[in-house]
Amino acid sequence: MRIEVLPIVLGALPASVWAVDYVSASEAEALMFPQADEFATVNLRLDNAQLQEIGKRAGLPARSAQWGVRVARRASSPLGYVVVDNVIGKFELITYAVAVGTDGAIRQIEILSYRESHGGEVRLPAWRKQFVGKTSASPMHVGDDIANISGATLSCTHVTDGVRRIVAVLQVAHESGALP
Amino acid sequence: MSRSLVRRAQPWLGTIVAIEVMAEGDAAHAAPTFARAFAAVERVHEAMSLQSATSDVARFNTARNGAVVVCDPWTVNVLSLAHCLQRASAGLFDVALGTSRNGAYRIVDACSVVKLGGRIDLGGIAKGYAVDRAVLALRASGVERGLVNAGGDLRAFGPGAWPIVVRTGQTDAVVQIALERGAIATSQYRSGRSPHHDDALISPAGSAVHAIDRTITVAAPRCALADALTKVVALSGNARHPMLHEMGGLAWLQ
Repeated sequence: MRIEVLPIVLGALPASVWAVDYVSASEAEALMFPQADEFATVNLRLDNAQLQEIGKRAGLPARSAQWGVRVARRASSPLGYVVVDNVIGKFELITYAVAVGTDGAIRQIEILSYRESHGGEVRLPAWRKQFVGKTSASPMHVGDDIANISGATLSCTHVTDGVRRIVAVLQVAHESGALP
Repeated sequence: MSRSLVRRAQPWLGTIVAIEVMAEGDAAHAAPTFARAFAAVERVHEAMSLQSATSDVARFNTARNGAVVVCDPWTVNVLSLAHCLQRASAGLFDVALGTSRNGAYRIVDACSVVKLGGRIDLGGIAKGYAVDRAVLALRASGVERGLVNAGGDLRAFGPGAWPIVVRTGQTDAVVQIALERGAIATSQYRSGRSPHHDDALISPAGSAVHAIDRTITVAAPRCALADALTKVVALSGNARHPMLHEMGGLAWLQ
């Protein structure tokens, strides 16, 4: 194990946003339905009664009357659906995709991108001193990779709520005949 | 084919688990590798979740005292490690959170334990263990360099340093660290939180400690150790606790 606190030049990181992109929406749908040979978009327009039903099933408001659903097919028969959605937390914006089979069961959830805004203050903490004599002699080089964050555990509650809502949307749309 | 960092992330263990590997080709090419690593995380999630009614932890907690609880061998691994850490820390690390003074369980064999009493919560170690298991799965798939991050409990493997940002609770201050072949876990404890909140620190006596208002970061060779040692440092208030030295760890208190 090698570890070193990096001396960051003050002001080098202004108030900024961490952004990590994992996979694109089209990569995600291909990963989640690898056997599909076709994806087509169906734009759902939900009426008030459907929105109420979704709210009841999901246990949280339907939020939007319009949803874009990608229908995965193989040899023209539907395999399931992919919906891309955003959830906003206290500091973060998460874009994710959920794949649901035609049986209504969740197949997979993929995070597409994660953005987090934070204050810009960067300081060299007192505990840098604790490293003296403990780290490697040669300076470590980290290159331009995107930093991973270790800190207060990020909760995925917003994502799981969002997934529950999408499952209800797909159920209601399927029952109404709006989805194959 | 050129090699580059390929990233994937999925929600597991109540957080987002992100995996980065140095791989040839694109996301589709690396899909089987990621599938094996995420399957390892899912297995830990299914076995050790406190919320799921069918997890080993839930079945242990609802079993009567003296009952044999059949568990996933990985759960037994974690309970075995937890037992060692409890002894080494003179009870500071305690997955029973003080609910069973004389030990909550006794390990019978690789896939069963006897419940002695109390309740267990593997929240302080399972995430780190899941990271270690995902790293093993990636290495078994031939990945030479990568990083697994379960909502801040992370481990890097292979040659070359990774930039890690440690976020601190009280201010917006961040600290950047370079890490090569090792794990980092950070726990924040804020005063005034209820004992049921994630941030609350549970003392071996079972009552939440409210006075602590700190961020604890521990680096260790394995993520399960880093994860567990944050609790030892938090409860002892000692960033130079002898256990750290024994287990190859380093800690910082903020």
